[in-house]
Amino acid sequence: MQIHLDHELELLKKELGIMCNMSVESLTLAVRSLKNKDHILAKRVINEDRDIDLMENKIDGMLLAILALQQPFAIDLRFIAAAMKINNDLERVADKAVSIAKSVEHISNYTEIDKYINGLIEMADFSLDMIRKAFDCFISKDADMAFEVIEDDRSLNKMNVKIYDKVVEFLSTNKVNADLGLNLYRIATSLERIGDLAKNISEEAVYYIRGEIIKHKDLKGKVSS
Amino acid sequence: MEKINVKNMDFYYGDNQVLCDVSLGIEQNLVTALIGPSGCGKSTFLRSLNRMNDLIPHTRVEGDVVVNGMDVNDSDLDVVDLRSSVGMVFQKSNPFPKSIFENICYGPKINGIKDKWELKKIAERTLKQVGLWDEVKDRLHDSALILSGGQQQRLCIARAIAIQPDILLMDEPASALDPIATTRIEELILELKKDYTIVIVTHNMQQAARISDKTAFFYMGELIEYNDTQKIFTNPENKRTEDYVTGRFG
Repeated sequence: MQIHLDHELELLKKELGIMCNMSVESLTLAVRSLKNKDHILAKRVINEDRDIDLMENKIDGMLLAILALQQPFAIDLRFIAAAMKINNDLERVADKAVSIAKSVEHISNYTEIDKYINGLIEMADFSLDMIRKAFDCFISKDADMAFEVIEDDRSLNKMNVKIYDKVVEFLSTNKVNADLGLNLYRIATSLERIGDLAKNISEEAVYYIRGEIIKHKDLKGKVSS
Repeated sequence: MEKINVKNMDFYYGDNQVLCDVSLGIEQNLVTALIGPSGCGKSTFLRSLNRMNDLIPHTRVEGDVVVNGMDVNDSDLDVVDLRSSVGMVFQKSNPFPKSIFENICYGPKINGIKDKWELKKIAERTLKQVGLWDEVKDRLHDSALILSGGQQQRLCIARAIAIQPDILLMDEPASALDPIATTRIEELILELKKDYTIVIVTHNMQQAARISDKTAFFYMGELIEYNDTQKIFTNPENKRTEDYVTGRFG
């Protein structure tokens, strides 16, 4: 029984690894489309999202089958519970990549975009790195690295605030290009949200590794009504 | 409040020590599951709570076992008194080859209840408690042996609670039953814990997880971990517990 469960868990890890690569690839391409103002590449990101949705469903099916047929306990149960959420988080990373790609379609013709791109690219690289690290710490059972990612989210939020200030400044002087300003901020918000998803993945990794729920620490001891 | 308190218990079959320094407090009105691989000592521990091991020759017990305020191993203790407050249900249903009514009333009669009206009331009350009344009320004087396996096991539980014990010991009570009969026994256990303190030995991890409040994991005669059931099955503290509940050994 256990040999079979171990085999199923190994298969699941592989599929989750593929899911992570697909989401990271989608985000990488979305960021490249922004850098190069490439609306054709942006279109590709949007079209290929369906494959990631299908992959999410496939992994959900595997997870449910393991729960129903193997009825795992303890560390195996925590792995399954964490994997369910991480699968969903990775799919949402890809959704954010699509959101970025849609904004790129809107703004690729604006020449004013150049002076804002560097800040966004810096955020994008940082959030991509967070997603990779968060997933690595889950697979390699590295709780220390998970806490590093959670800490990184603060830095990403600060970058987002800087972009916000720039967009406000831009909108106050370029009222005719509100579409550009709002889409730039939409991209920044998507990247900030990707940081949140990396933090979620790290929190799930800590739960898997230590059996400790660390999210919403500020609410510890309070009971929901 | 602890109903059972065991301290530093050792148990021997001849020279073979099967329980080593076991200390465990079992709380009132909770279901406590004893789990562990075959031969780990969990059934011996269960049977030592109502001196059922006395029936096995060349056994010896050391340490303190206090059940319902009684020193179980006190040589002056009346075992009948002990067993009237500690009922037991076994793996295989074992109704007496008597009528359903006689099975229920056997214990109360031994305890001196002779009044037929009183015995009828006990039979109805206990059969209702185990959810068997509607199925057997028209054939109370038929042989208990014509009942199905699941019904026989519920009858045995009814027989155990007819003498109104405080504690119920169950040694794999559903292991010989089909899933539907097992579910009924499990629901019954959850219902009964309002009135009884229940200690159950089970090899079925899912069953222990579903019905118990506390779980004790035994391995090679030692109590390895005793904790809330949720903790044992989601994040046990001991590596051996984790390996056992995840099926990596045992």
